[in-house]
Amino acid sequence: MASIDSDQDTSFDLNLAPFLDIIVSIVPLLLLVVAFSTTKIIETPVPLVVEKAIQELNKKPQAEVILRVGNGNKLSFVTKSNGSEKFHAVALSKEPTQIMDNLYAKALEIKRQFPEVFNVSVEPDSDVELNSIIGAIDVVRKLRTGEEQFKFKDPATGDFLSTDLMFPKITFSNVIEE
Amino acid sequence: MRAKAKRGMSRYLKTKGSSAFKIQITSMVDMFVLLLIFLLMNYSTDKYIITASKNVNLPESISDMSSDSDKVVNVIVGRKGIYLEDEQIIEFQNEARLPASSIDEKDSSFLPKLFETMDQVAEKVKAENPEVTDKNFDGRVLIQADRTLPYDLIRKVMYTSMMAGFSDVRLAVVGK
Repeated sequence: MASIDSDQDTSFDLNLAPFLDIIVSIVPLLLLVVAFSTTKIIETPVPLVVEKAIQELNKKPQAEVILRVGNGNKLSFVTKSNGSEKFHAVALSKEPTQIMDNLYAKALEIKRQFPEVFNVSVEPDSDVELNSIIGAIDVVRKLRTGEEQFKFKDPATGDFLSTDLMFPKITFSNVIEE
Repeated sequence: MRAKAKRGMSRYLKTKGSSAFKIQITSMVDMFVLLLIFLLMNYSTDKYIITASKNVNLPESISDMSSDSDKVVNVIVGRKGIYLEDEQIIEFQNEARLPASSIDEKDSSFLPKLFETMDQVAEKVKAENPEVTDKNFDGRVLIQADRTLPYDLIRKVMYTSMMAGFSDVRLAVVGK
């Protein structure tokens, strides 16, 4: 107990001046350079006719998934697999959020059917606003938190991989055709 | 009289206390630390930063993809016209309506004025880089389009860009 000196003053003054100097210098600098709203990008490679043909010949995808975006939130999927074409309508609702939930459920159903397809061909109608198209693309892009991830076979290694991505690759397929 | 005044002053100073004072900096330090953390969290470390155009309301998206190159041609499609970088190429007659003179007579998706300007940009790139030819030219275009614009207008811009050799099309969005 000899080490404890009852007379020794344990309080001390912390010199805050240099700390404040640093903060006062950094804060204006960051205020000048910080980006409060960041601009991101969505890649939408345009399908060239020749490129498309080469892709089809070389890769032979499991299926083709088409997302049709109509006016008034009329959304539907078309899947093309083994020469057959299937139409999947997304249930309409008065609530826009409910329509997006229905779109997500339908995309999930299609993705579970074709786990190795990551590309979706988007075919919006002429008068559909860009905001609606981006909204639909966002819904089908990836799984919502808490959902079980998809497993698919890597063609290069043969290993099974898991991912939360549904249809991250977007192609506006009616750019040329219309 | 003077002595009386002196006594009054000393009494005043006694009641008021010392002229030296302490600044309460604890709250200021708290505020600065919070501000610093907030700013550091919002600080962008992207290599290439896209500068959004003032008059365009970009759509919101959950996309977290940043620009990976500065060799991108910016096409801005606002409600008043189509711009290539800062130069106005086509002016809309009414809001978001293409004038008939700006559309090709034979191909309703083709915008000749935009094509000419983009073609000039492509030719400039080819002249600056001798290894780039018509066959291997792979131009990148970033379309900054207003969220309220119809798809038909954006499709025409995409189609014309593709015709000018810019087949790698990207859409600018604002991160949610």
